[in-house]
Amino acid sequence: MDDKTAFAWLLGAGVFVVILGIIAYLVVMVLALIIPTWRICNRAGYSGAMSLLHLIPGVGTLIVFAILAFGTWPAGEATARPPQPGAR
Amino acid sequence: MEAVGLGALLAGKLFTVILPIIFLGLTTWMSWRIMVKAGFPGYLGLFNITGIIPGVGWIIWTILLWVFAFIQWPRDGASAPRVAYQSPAGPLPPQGLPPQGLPPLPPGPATPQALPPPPAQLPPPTAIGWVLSGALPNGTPLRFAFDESRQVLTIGAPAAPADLTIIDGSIGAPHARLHILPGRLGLEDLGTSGGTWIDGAPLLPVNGIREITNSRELRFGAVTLTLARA
Repeated sequence: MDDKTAFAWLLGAGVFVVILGIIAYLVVMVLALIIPTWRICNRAGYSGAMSLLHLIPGVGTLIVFAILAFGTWPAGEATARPPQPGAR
Repeated sequence: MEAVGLGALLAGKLFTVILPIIFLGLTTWMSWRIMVKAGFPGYLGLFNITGIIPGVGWIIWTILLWVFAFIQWPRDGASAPRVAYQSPAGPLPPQGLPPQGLPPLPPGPATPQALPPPPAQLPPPTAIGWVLSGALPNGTPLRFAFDESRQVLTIGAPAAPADLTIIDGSIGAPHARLHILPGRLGLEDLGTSGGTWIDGAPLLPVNGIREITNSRELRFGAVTLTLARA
């Protein structure tokens, strides 16, 4: 096996490992995070597809949490308060 | 020299200590708010801290996320006490009103006064329709007339399908649900931030369906409507 062939094999194996890693990452994300978050988003009144933001590395989870924490839930919240005078 | 040393120390700890602590603090704060919105005590949001346990922390965190996603939320009102409805006209239809002797409002922060007790004897069903009338905060008159041909009517903003649409920023989509029986009317709050009131008393999702047959004034967010028989 000459150097070129060895390099091609190494490159192919590296790409394979990377793809396998990405697939494993996606499977873990879907099973562990996206399914429950999908349901939480639905129950809050948002589209379940919002949970796909988890797939953004680093800040995806933060974004989903922020929307759920600071957005007004379309399906209603348990924290109903009388509107302030003049407030809409 | 000391300042440089401190800066280097902070830079060295930026990704291993400082940013993770900020991330954990932010997500815990958000978890607290999400718990409150779902009707749980806010401190349950501290479950987020389990994520920093070395090794199994993320597994515990994920399990708790699944639990939160699939358990009953107090906001949904499923845990509210409900009593079987005894209709003088016969058995209860699938979505019926609660009976006389309704459970009192649970103690809460937004309870200026208790709901008036239901009448000992409900009036006979003499009318076949109801009218909700009032005005938007900007003065636009509102009037909804409905009969008893349907058992449930949804009240809400136009952002979602609703039977009685109110165009106002304080109205949720959906906002509340009217339950109709012959001669009787019930109201259920769906938990929007605008809130629902019956004769000045707040109606919370945990209260479930409350009878409003003899109520006069209903308030949805900033919109007050008067209830009358047609």
